[in-house]
Amino acid sequence: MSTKKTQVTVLGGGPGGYAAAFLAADLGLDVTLVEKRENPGGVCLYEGCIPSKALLHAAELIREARHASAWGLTFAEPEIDLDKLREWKDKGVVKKLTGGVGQLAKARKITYLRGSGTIKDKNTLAITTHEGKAETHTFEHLVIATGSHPIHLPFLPQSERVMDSTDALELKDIPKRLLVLGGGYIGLEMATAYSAFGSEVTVVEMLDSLLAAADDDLVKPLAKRLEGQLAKIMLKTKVTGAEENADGIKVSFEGPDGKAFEDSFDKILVSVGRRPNSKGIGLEAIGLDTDKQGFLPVNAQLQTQIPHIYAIGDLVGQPMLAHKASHEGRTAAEHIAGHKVAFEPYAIPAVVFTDPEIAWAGLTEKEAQEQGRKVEVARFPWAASGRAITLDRTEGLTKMIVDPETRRILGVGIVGKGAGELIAEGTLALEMGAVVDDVKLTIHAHPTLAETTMESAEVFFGQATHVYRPKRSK
Amino acid sequence: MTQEITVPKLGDGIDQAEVIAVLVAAGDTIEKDQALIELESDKASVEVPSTAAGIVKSIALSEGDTVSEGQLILVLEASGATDKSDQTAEAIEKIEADSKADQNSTAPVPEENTEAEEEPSVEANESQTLEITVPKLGDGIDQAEVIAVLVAEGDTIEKDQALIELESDKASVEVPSTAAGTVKSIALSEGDSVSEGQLILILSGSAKVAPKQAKKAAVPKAAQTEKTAAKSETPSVSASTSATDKPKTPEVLSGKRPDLGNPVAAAPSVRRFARELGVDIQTVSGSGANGRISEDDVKAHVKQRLQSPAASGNVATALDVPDLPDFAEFGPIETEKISNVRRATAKQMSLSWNQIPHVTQYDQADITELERFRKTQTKVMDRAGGKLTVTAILLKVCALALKQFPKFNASLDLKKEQIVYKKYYHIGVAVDTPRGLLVPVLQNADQKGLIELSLELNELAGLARDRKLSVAQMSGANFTITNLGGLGTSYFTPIVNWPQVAILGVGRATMQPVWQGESFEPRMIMPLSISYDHRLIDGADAARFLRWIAMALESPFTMMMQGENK
Repeated sequence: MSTKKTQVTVLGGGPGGYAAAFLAADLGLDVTLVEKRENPGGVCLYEGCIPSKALLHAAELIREARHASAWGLTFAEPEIDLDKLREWKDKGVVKKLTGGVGQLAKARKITYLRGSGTIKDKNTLAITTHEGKAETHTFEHLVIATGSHPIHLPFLPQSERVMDSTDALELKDIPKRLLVLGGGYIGLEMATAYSAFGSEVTVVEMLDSLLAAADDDLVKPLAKRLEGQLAKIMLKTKVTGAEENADGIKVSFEGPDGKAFEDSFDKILVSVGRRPNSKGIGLEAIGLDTDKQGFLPVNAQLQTQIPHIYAIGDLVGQPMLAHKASHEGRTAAEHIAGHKVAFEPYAIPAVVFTDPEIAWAGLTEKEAQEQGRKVEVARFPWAASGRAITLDRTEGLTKMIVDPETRRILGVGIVGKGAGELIAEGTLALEMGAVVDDVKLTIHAHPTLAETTMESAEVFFGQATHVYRPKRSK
Repeated sequence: MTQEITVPKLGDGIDQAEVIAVLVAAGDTIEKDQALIELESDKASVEVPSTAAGIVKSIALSEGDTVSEGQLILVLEASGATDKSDQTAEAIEKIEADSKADQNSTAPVPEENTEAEEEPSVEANESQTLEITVPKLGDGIDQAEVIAVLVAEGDTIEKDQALIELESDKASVEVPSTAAGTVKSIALSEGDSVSEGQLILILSGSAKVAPKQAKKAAVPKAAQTEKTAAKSETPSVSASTSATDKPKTPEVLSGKRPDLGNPVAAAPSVRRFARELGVDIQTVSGSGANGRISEDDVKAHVKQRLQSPAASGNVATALDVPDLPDFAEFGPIETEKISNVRRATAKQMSLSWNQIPHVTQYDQADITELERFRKTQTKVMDRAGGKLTVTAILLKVCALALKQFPKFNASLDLKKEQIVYKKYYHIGVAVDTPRGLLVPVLQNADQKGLIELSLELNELAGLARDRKLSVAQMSGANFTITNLGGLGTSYFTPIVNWPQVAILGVGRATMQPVWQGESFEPRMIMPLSISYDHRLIDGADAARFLRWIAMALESPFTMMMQGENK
């Protein structure tokens, strides 16, 4: 049994944890990163954001090739070598990236402690190393970054046929009939990938719309397109039970009219949300309580009630997004290093990597309505974008939610190809406290989809070059 | 008479368009050519103008509808006459009613309403708890000290029962409970320094929520957690930040998660810079368009704060005072923490002394007749339940003198380069209490009789000694009287209480031989001192003012010889 001591220990090597560890090291602190896997990366790199994007890229290629026949460019139907595709995802993408992050940890002289850690007391972790050895590890500061896990539905059978997002990304096979339970972003992204690979995908959602947090006008073009991609989208529908049999899984539903019905599938993907990993990490040993949803409360410096113990990422609250976790991790690291900082972003962008993509940042129209806040919304339809027309993808929309008094941009919403990339400009505008004039007066390269951001700002003034919609006099 | 407005021809080769906005509402009065709806076809988006003027009776379309030429947009009513037999109109009305009903069922219910429904008699469950927080302390008061905790854990308390006693710079108040229930835990203890919004205690059990408080603090929290709990069950990505999202991460320590309802216009780098300097970005005024704050604005803010000790909040300590010698070298010492009252006095006196070029002038009044009169009033005053004091008479006399000499009832505003004349006559009276100097204010002293002034003064002085004065009872004076006569002083130099411009000091009256033309007579002579702000008041003004007061005390009829100043 050995004892190691360190200035900053980070428990959990996901995108929040390793960002915290790296910056702490860059700020001259002595850092230990405790993580189960061979390299840092967490859910994001191993079984979340990154591998799903690899599969979605493949799916996009298949769809674009099919779409091209409309302009006289006909390809043969793709042959999918599933083993090779999986290998590319695992080795070509995940391993490459996590290996690179591991190299970066080494370059920064961070002690990488491979194993799982539990909090023993206010300065000690109990570590079970990868080799199975028990160690204790003492620290001056701790950053808890244990992340989250997919919610499992207890009434579904324990079966190979019932997958969570991690299983689905393993890509064991292409089920003929796939039921996606939950119309949130994970469910829709996986539905998008599997339907392109040939699955007949049904999405079932309890609420009356897909992507409940997003504005309706952003969801609409996606919903329309998904209707052509998926077998069925069932809204306001509940899954009441499931039974496995020899050749599939029989699922019973309750429709919007209250009527029960059944259908059979080869596999089910459960994507109904995630829960923070706050149990079993020893919080009780140091007297830290979570809230009802399992989140660990922290202040703007990411400190728990014990000032030298910090917590970040999915563990501390919504939104459970990698980029939020990283920013929190970096804030915590700076605070530990003695800087006066706070986690105080004006906007955290959200991206749904479907086809088309949806992205938004800042205030949504829904939130403005809930708050009874007066806003003006300027919409630029991509039907008027030259670049969108050349891509034959004119269903998109870029909109700005603007304070009518100050002309300050309060929110930006985009649906369309590449929306996830385009939202960056909107996020920067929000952080800079830009007024809509600023975006209007910034030259955007032509022809690009980014121009839609500028033109939506022009729409606010009734002066968009490619939309004739004069400003209404009041 | 009703008229139907329909979708016009959309353009060559365009059969259908989508309604992307409805620009009028039922009941609107519209002009001809006013835009009614906005349509978007494959490429173009157009506004459809009205072909007639009138009042919108009903609208047949809603956003997202796909329309084609000739389709009904809305029904206009030309005048008050309604053609009830018009079937189309009726049908449309029905549609409208349905769609309204729809809206009602889907639109989020405003939170207040929900609370209003739940409030009145909701007995909280066992599990339900209620946080009682420190209320607003008063203008300009940020902090107060807990001097007593009046309840204990496990106590069952009533609504409005006093929970703690707070003492701010000058006032001490009891904080009442906004709800009834059982005290689950107390978050404060005696000696703590608290500010508005800070948790006092948590109530549980049969907590009946007081309506007002419910709206303000307790219920929204509960409602919100329920809401978020419900949300988390649904597979939704909730990612953008907003004020409503933030409380999901409860704050445990000092720092609050930023309220992003109205973020200041400052780039992240500027916000960070301000934080490093310990500046609250919300307090910086931006020089850019729409108040945008630059790094230079933050620097200027800091510079200004350093240069104006008055604004830094603690004048007494802001002065550059050298370190004290170690007194213990010379003999035994004892230290005592400066009390809130002492701190406030120190701050206010330093401010006054630094701001005001002081001059003090002296005079004296023969109060022999006044004393005789005072004794004759003993019975009257006994019946009223009090005693006619010299200070009460001085209050009346000074109020009338202030009317006569408006400059003494004014304040000097050098920032705006103006003199503020006040048309009310509130006078502060310095009261010596075991805690130090307190100055209750008698309002509208000019309008009150001597009986009323005596009783009120007595009451306020009692409150001051019992530490029960409210902030309001110590605010708003234009002039101050400080009477040290009871303690034996003669002449002294009081400090003007800024932003007032003058203060009257009163010493002990003594029997003195006074030459009365033929002989020396024993007369009661009262010493008077007036300190004033020489920026506004000149020596001659002060001489006249003080003489007027002395004369009024000696022969009250003289002050009735002239009419009042308006």
